[in-house]
Amino acid sequence: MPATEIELADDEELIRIYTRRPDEPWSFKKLRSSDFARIMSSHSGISLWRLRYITREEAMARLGTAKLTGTAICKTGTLKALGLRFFGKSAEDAHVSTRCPGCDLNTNYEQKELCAKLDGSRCGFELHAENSICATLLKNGIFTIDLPVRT
Amino acid sequence: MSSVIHHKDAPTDWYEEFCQRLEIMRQNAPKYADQDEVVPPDWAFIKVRNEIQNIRKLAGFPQLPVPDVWLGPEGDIGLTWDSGDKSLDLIFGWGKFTARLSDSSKQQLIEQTDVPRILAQMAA
Repeated sequence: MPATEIELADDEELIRIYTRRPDEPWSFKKLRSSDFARIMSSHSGISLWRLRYITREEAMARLGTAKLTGTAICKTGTLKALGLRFFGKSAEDAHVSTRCPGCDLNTNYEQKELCAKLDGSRCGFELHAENSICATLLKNGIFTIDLPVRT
Repeated sequence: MSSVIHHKDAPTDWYEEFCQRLEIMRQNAPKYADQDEVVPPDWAFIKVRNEIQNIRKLAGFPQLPVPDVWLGPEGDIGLTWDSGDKSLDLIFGWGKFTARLSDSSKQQLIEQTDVPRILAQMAA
């Protein structure tokens, strides 16, 4: 089923799974801008998970990573205020693909087409963007550590 | 006749600690790479180490906390200094360099040539 834009309630809790290698304990309890960076070469948007429909443990298990995992949490309304938009396969999808303002909202994953900004500027989820949302999401308690990485 | 040599209890310099962190990451990054994640090649780690060594020298060897050192999903190597609600990110990518000063209300990109001055200010 193709992804469509879905409406989330402002008070809905969303988590971002952040990962750390065991050899970087200095950052187990600290968020970084790279925790919100998109893999530009293969992903459209960044993944967030809705606690209304999935547990933290289930979400972390779905990620399938060799790294250690933790979760950062925020309220949907805060992200909507920044202009972020959400795509899922249904209104109850536990996983949402989150897009930055000005996105062309492409969802043609099968054709390997990735989303891009309509004005040609860098994606907000890119670390090198002039106004990087990756850096914004760390500030003002927008995302906070929910379940820290543990060994 | 013997004598006792007294060593000063000098704190580890942030650059030394940074180099240690960087080297650990270089060694282990491939082992923990996720699907689609780009692992920086060895030369990129060496380049970043040398760049930081040069920036530190140009900044007048400022006394700073040890920066967070991290790898981005696209093969970027990053350093972050946090001071209260302010952060300085230095991000070394494939042919791209970004220095970003940010606080709770704004972000400012910094020219690479201005980074030593900013680091010196952070230490002051």
